[in-house]
Amino acid sequence: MSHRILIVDDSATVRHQLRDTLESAGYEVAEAENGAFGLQAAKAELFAMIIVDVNMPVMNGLEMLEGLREVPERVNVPAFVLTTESSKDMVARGKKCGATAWIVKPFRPEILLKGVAHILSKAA
Amino acid sequence: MTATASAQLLPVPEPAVQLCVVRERSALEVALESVLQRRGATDIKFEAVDESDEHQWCFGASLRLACDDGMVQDYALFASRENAETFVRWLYGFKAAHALNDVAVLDGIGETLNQLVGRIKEVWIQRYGTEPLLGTPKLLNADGCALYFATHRDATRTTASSEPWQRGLQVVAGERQDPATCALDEVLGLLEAAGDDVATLLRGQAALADVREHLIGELRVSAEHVLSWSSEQLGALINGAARDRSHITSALRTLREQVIKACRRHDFEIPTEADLVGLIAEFVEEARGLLESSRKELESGGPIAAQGLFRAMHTIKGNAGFFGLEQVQRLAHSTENMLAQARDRATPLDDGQVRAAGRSIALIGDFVERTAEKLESGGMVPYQRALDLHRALLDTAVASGISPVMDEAAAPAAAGRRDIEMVRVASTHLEALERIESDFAALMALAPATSATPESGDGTELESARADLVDLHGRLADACRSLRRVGLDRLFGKVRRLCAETAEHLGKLAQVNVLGDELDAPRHLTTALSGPLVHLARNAIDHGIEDPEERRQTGKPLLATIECRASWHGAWLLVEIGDDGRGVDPERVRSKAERLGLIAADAELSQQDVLGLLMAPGFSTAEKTTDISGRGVGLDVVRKEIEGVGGRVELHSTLGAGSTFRILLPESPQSPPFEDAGASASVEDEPPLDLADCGELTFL
Repeated sequence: MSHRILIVDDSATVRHQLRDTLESAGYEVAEAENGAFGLQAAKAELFAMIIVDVNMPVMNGLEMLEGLREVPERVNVPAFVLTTESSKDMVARGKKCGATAWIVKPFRPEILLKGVAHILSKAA
Repeated sequence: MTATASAQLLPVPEPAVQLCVVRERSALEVALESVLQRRGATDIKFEAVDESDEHQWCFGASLRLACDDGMVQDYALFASRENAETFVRWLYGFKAAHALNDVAVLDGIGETLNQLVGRIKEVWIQRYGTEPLLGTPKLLNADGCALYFATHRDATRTTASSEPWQRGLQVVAGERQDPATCALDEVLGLLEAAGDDVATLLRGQAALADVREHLIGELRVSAEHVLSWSSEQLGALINGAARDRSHITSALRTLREQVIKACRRHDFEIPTEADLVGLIAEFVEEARGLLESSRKELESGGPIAAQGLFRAMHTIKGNAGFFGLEQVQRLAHSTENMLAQARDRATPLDDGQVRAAGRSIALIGDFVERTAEKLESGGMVPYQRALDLHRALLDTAVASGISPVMDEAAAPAAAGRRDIEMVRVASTHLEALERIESDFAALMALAPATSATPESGDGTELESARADLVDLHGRLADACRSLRRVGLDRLFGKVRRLCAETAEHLGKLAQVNVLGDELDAPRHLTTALSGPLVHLARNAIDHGIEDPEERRQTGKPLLATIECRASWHGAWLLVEIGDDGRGVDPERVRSKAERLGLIAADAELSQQDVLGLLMAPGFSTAEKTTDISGRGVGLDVVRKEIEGVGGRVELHSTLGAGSTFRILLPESPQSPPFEDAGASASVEDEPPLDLADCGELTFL
């Protein structure tokens, strides 16, 4: 069974790119378009990992991760933050909220996939 | 499967009949073998895929061929071309239509299968005395009906017993609607069953995305707004922001009716590969014509009406949708939206719209030309990244109601400031005001810090009056300072415009990101900065970034990025301008400097020192045409101007990944040295703006 990955981004374009990238490597993908939907989805299902944007309407990605880490069964779900933000402060905040890795957009598919494979193999 | 449909179509075959099919299948295999051998195939193996598959009735048979080249192929045999086409359309979508091929061999097999079907009928009648209910007459009508099959090269993915085939067969049998309608049914079913269950609602949202996937061409475009609206509403449901779902279901039901109607009208004729190539060639030709006339219209110089451009984009959008060229379709769609605004207001296009339309036309043109190139080799490489990026720009621009051109993207941020009426004041008036301020300051310094004594009795009053004076002086000093300062937005705006113009002129694709243009700086700094910044920006476009073809070959995003940002660090202004272009090769700089006699051959220099040589007097002036990758013209002039106001400039560069110039300027000649300003640590801690890092991943 292939890994299911949740992608949370308000941009349909980015979701589309992520979906293409991940599916091409054989992963299954679920989508949510803001942190609130993402949080609900990630609580409802145990995903192999989560890829989340920071700046989104309704609830941002870091708030979403914070909320998710409050659920004991979801503490260890790997989460990549994929964002245009690159300031040290933001990255530090991401780490505090339980992000596993930080990727600055625009992402390079091969690097994302390497990171995903690395994390999933570690989880296995 | 509903009861009526199955009664009409597929009675569950009784075991005896199943056996009969299995026996007869081997006869079919013999016949197939002879057909294939006649065509030169050897070592043909047959493998029954799923004998208990009840649906085999409606399409005759399925079998697996192991060919001598090691390739395993699954075949589904259909009793008519129509069935096969419907099935293939369901299974592959339009793009794989060419899977139906090789009519001659298929006709041979069809003949055999039709005999088989006749034989089954005979057996059934002998045994039961009635005509078998093998399906609707058209499915097993042997009269003059050739048989076709679809091949599926990836045998591991799909076998006759796997779910997609089963569902495909149901479509063939007429038990199911077309895939889009099926997906709509799924959404409606999930919506009904979900209640407040978020997981089910999310599945509904995913199914809604499937609907979009299954709709093709014009149908997709016209359904787009219903789908996105429904998706939004469904989002509100999931989010708990709304509870009533009746309006979504009624909209989706209406859409479902429209889809069914459209599908009935739709001619299921599926082109062969050759037809498809012909169609694409036609698309290319038509698009070239439309783009060419649009380009002429844009370049005509007079006021441009949106109508003609709008029609061209609309046609391209429709055609692109037909071929599933989603990126082109969306780009054309965004451009069309933008043009529609101008058309509806009946106003000619403004400059921004003209430039945006020009850029869309150029991008689509690129894609079309690439498609034309690929037509012969058979592969398609869409300019996906560039198109995505560009579309994102267009989308943002349309959403914020501004014309989608890069150099005006910052307009809303600065809009507030532009509303203020600007006045011109003679500098002597400013100087007079400043003198008053400095006299005031001197006076304040003379006044005793604590004039109030306990004996004076009115100490509190005096104290409070003095505090008011201090406050007033502070405000006066601030006002004077701000009179001497100007916003960076104007200068950065100029940089944007210049980059856009230069890029357009040189046929390069670039976007300019600006940070910190809300800051202001003393006028003498912005004046000193203006020339160098413009020079560096033009250099970045001209020499720094590669042309689109070179970027494509090196795997970079076609749309290059120029970043221009400013920040205050204590009394020092830091301005950086960087690109993600080809960077500077320190080796070449060094060897050229040696040749020019600027350094000794054995001089020990850090990389930073070597890059600094680019700005040495005599380096760039010695050779006007730049052969150093990226940089080189007049950089000594840039350095002279910056140093003229007490500043300094550094170059950071990574070969292949881009260059960044950092300019440091003191607020006034009295500013403490940068290193002592208490700000150096915070700046040096921060790595220089390094665009090479874009897209990198950092584990935390």
